[in-house]
Amino acid sequence: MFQNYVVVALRNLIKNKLFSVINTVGLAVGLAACIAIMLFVRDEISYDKHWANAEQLHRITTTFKLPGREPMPLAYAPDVARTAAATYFADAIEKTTRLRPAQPIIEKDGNSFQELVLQVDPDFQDMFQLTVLQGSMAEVLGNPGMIALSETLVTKYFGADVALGQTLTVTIGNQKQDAIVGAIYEDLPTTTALVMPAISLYVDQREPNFWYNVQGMVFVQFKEGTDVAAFDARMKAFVDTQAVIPAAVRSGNDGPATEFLGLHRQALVDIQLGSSHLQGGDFKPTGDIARVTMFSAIAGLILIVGCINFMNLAIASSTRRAREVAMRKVMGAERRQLVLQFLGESTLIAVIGMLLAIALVEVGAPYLGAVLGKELNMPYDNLQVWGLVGGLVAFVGILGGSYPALVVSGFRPSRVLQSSRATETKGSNLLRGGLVTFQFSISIGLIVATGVVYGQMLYANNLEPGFTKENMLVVGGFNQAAARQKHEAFRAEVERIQGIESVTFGFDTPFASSERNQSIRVPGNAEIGDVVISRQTVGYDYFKTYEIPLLAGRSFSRDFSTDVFPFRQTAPEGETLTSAAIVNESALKRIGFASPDEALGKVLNMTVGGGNRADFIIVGVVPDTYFRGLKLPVKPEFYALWPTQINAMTARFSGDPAVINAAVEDAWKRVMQGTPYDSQFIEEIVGEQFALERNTGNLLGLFSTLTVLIACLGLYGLAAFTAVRRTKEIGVRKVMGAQVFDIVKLLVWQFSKPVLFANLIAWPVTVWGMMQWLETFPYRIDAWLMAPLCVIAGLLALAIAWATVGGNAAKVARANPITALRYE
Amino acid sequence: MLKLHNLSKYYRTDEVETVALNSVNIEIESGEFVAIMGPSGCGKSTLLNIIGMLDNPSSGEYVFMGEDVAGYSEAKLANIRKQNIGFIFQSFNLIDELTVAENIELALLYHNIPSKIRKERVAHVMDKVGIAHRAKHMPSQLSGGQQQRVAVARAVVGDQAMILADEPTGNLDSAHGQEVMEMLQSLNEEGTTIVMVTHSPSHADYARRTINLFDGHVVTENLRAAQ
Repeated sequence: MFQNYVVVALRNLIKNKLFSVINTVGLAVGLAACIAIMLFVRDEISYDKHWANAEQLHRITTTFKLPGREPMPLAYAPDVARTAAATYFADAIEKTTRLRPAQPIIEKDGNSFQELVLQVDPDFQDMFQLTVLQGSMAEVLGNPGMIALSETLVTKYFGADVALGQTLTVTIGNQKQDAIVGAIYEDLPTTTALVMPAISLYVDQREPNFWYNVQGMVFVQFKEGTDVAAFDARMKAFVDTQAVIPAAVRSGNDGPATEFLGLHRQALVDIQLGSSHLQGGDFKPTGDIARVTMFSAIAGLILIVGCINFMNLAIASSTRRAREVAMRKVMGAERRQLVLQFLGESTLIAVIGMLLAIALVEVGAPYLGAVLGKELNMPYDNLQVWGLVGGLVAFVGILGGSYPALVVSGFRPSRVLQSSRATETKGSNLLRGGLVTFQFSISIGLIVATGVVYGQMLYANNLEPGFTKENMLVVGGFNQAAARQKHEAFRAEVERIQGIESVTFGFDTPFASSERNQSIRVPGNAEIGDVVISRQTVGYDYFKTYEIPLLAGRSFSRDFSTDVFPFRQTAPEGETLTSAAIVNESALKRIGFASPDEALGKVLNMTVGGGNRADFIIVGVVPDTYFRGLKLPVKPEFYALWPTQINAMTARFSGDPAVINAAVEDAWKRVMQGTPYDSQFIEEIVGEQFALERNTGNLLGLFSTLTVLIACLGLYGLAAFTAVRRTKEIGVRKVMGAQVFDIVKLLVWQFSKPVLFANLIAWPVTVWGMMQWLETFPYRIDAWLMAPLCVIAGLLALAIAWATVGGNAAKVARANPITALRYE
Repeated sequence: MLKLHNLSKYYRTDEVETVALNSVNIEIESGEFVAIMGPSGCGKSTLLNIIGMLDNPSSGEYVFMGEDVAGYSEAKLANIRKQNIGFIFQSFNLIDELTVAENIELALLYHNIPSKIRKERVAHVMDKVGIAHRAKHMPSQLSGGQQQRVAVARAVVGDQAMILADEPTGNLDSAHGQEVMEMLQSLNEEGTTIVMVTHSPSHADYARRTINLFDGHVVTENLRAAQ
């Protein structure tokens, strides 16, 4: 009997080639997309589960809450929080370590590179248990003169030579010291949110006691059986009783510490998907639970679209199968046997689809992986994955075969055999229409979503940051004392290069997202009290180079020696120390000046280090800029001139960027011998800002194209089927005088209805979903832009549907009516 | 063999009730050859479907081999049917995806008969109806007469006691029609009960008894003297 089923199933497949191809290809593409996305999701949710103590490891994150400002959540925590927590939570915390990312220059044999070295506390190795290949981590973490290297760095610096016991020269800031390689450990797997190319002991210069300053991450290891929820509940009391909030931050507010500072626990395994709210600190870009959820949903939707093809063609062909069912019943088949037969058949198709899908994944996964920045491979040795594959086949098989199994198997043979009456019922037509509607709702929804993501990307890319971003080269590395000392010589060299238009030095680079804050007082305005605003220190020609226009006043100038930030200076007896400040528009509002001109000449009083204060006279006002990042809200800010506190040089140029960069690199090598050259164009930096969104947009584009394709395949099949079913009707209509165009219109209209109806479902759902997504951007496209997008998506779907069914309809309509009427 | 007592069948839609059979009383003995005649729409096929248990009567009694089957479930009817009744249709109703041999074998598939025995019986019956040389062909490759021979073979391969034939010659030319009738006659001579719906008086002559239906009533029953 089984053999008979297989024979019938296979012959059916071969006989109805078109439908078989539509079914299997649609399913295969749907399944392949589904599997590929699941591989991605599986990768994302597997992050940091490999650590031996994964369950017990947690990090402390910080939220700075400056009065009058948006809270700023960070992945880092104050150094002092580690020791304080270890004491306060002695019953819960077993071990603690900081992970402070330092970026020293490492030299060997005259070659030098800037590397990320994690400075950690001695508990580190017990907590993270790196696989040590040579040497001893305990020795490295007990000796400030030692360093542990990952295999990658060993290969980079030593090749195949013995590395253990060798010496590297490590320069942090202006401290240069030798470090002996004391341990070599295995590289971390890709599925971790942490980065550990090299490790050394964190040596405190002095006892850490600043609660309002963060340098790196703080990790704790809980004792077995610690109640995490109870720990979290005690966190507020911990901060309130232990944390010391600087008076400058408090601005006279005596409230509890948690009004200014929040500390939170985050499980290590939650970092990858639970850190998108953090404004900085993670060692590498983390994932995003919203993205994972979105793609999981898309995987499900694509699969459903494929399954709907399957169901629809099964429903359509049930007329054809009805006679077989009737005859089998006449021969004594029981309904149960027919149900099994139909489910078996659809499962067979599902298996074929799955085999094709696995082949597609095998071919496509590396490309997808490249887009996602992951290694995506089908893990053939993983039982879980096979369970999933089996589950998908069963799901698709049962869903695809459900209509014939449940409905067709129940046909009464007397009815089917007696007449040539179609076994189509109102119900089956409605169900089919409904399924097509659903399919196109998904397609239209995905088209709209893709449009919104692309639109937002385009908007973000074209968002004017308020400063010139084209033809701007940023050269870093001045945090090294050696480079900083020679920056004027370097400036001279660079200014000599043909095409360089303007050069400036500054502490920050665009979109570095780090910020320093300063508490200021406005003499004559006691009411406002201490105000905390951002401070940005810049060099000469900063506004000229970035082409930020002045709304009022002047820029910093070499003509005024007092423009320079009077760091730790003391005023002569009886006088007040003065300097100059330039403020942005947000600062104007925050402080309460009505216009730029009104602000000119007003004074901001603040500390300048060494316990001294100075009056900063506002000499200029500039517009707000998105210097810190296009995803961050603009903050009240003032600029101070500090020509020696520099991290980077920015040069505006004209001409070929590659040529300019090469010339600047030459100049660097001449002046800076030994310090690595590090440059980037601002346009590249802007691009990186939205890399994830671009990535998401591209994938959405890919998957919505696939969905639309699968839906069209199904529609094509259905149209072909319907045309056959309506052959007689078409013949009669033609005999009655219908033209080819009338017939085409008739058939095309039949399929336009579900597509038009699909819009009604797709529009509200998608618009709602995308509005949630857009909420995550401080600067976003107007929501009403989705209205034309919806209409365009609807028209596109309709056009695609017409193109799909039109050809077939025309063919059927052109046929000789006599042939049509002879049918049956 | 079977007895219909006051048996009626109505078809109801929202607006109309159509009476297909109205208080029909028929008795058919084992080994009989009965022809059912009447104009289109008089209820012939409905009667045959009810006798064949493909349809349920709306009221009345249907006793088949001593059992009143009128209220039986579908599964129970399927079981009685596959043991006892073979069918032949005007439009042959062969399954397009199966070969001649496989189509005939279908009648045995739901009987739990081992494959080897099935194959033997199929081969035997194909010989009997003269279609053995077409065993591996698909129905679409056969002429109408050949297809109906396959259908006859399928109806008898399970050694059914009764064959129900619904206008078995309706789609055939006279020569092929003749051929099928002769096949039915010889089956009847071997002891199979045959109930046949037909429009053709000459084919009805093969039967020993003719039941004439009109508007759902049995109007006459003609007995022919044994030949």
